Amino acid sequence: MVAPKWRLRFTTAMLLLLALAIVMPGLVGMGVLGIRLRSTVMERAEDKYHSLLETAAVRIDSFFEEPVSVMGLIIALSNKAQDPQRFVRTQLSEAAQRIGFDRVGVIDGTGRIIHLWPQGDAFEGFNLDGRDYAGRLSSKESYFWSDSYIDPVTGSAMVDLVMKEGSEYVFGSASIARLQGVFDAVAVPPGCLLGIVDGNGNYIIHSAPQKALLREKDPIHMRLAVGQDMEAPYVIDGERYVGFGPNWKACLGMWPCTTRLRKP
Amino acid sequence: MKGSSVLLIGLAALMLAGCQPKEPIRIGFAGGITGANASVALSGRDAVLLAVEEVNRAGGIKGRPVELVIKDDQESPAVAAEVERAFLKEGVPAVIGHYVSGVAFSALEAIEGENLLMLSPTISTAQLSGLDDQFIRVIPTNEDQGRILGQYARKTAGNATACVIYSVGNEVFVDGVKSAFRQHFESLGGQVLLEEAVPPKLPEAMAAALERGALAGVDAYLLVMNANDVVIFSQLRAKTGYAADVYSATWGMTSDVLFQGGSTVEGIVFPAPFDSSSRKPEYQVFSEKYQKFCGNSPDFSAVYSYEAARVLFGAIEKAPEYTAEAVKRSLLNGGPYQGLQSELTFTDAGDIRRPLFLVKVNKGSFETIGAGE
Repeated sequence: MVAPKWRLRFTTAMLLLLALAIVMPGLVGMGVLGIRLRSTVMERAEDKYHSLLETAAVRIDSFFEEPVSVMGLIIALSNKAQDPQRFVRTQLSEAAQRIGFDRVGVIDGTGRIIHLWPQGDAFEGFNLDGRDYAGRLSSKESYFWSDSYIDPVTGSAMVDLVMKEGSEYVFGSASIARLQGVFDAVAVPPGCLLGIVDGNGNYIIHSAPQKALLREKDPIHMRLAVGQDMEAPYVIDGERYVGFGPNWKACLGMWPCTTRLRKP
Repeated sequence: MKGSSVLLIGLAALMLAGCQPKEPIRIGFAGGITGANASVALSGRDAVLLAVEEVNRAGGIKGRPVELVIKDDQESPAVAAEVERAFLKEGVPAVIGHYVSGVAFSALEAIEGENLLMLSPTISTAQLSGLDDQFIRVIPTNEDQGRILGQYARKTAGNATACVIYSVGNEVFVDGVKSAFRQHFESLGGQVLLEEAVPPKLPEAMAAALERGALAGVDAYLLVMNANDVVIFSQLRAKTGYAADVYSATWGMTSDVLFQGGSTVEGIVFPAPFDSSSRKPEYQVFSEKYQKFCGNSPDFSAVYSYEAARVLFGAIEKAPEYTAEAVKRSLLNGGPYQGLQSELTFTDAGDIRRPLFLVKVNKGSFETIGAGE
């Protein structure tokens, strides 16, 4: 006996529905699980990268601590300088060479340079009151790193480390190109970018050196400046990154520090 | 059934196409962002970045985002030509830049007859005036700077003799300023006793030129050089104590002059292409944003670069297609444009007429002391 066609079709349709009813929840469950799993994997990867970057940041901190200690010593010695020429010849030159600065000097309360290494430098006798070291150094801080600037004599981009002693200031000037040397000592996690920006949003150092040497503006700083949230995807040289910004303790103690994390 | 499938597939394809990110409008930026005079191009670059950020936040141009392609010309004529060729290769039809007159001719030669329009915020050489070419600018000519300084030095400040110290390497700009200064200063009874050429970043040569002026007994110096050299001059003058009035071309008027020069640049008079004390709302809003963005007040390069970017965006929006010629026609026919302080009207040749102001450094700031005649 042959079943009528409609019955066959009905049975097939019912079987299909039954199969779907069984399989669908499984498929949906697997989909949800997949999304959660992916999200967890990404979070873990981000945590891992974040932690690696923080380790790198601590090392960068140490790199920048040495100049601060050496300059502190100069301050202590400058008080005892009986012979300014000898002071310049010995202490300042030794300190500059040790910390790899291009220029180290002492300025008086009016901004005028009173001791300078290297001797014969065009800056001798210049007045740096326009840099407003006094205004920048609050009573709570013992030192600060300046924003980057173009040196009028060499034309290089530089930053200053400034410390105060009494009514005088000791400053050390380092070129941005020289500061890039930090990355000889600090390993940047693969696929990540690491940089420090100054108060104007220009890179002082960057793991992609050209970005610092061309004084590129940091996109996180730019977003913050126009009142946007820093947490956003960034496309840099064709790659997508997630930004971490000022909430991360800055390497240099007083400026926002920028790291970027590439999504896996 | 067949028909509805086709319709569904078509709709899906349309929806997918709608999800595709729109192709950005690529605009070039060219300037000397490294080297001794980088501050002019750097503040220009930052102002253009700010304008790009704003236009993108507002939905872009014709619904497409704007992407800025930045290149460093190192203020070298040869590199500037290379930069232009690179823009041509990358299919970028409009460039904001360059920033010094000395590179203008080689850059323009590289793009002659090609699909590329150059809109400069700061190139002011009069040698490019009145030409129907691929060059448009938002700054008045350098001769205007020399003219108002010459008139001010003689008529207002009462200077009788002057020494002009100028930088070697940017002659197309320098020559226009110093000859206009001489012409107007001397036509009013003054006398330019010396003209001293100084290589950039050379304090010894600057000291010698300063001393020759002092020995000649001049009562005014005109500086035609970048901000760093103005700083070197001022620091040396403060050390030696030579008393004389000092004037400088706009080229030297950047925030670096105040930062590096401090009290030594007090009293220097500049011809400013904008009024830094303007209360115009558009300028106030820009100034505040720029300050937040870059940490310092906008200088002439920032103001003009921002205006150049806004004019260019408006012209691209109205142009039927994004080609150099279409944008140029749209720009020249579409004015006047609302600038930050005044309306901007271009001549048929892409030059501009706008007021110049006189600005003096007073207590660490640029203070407007009057408008040029």
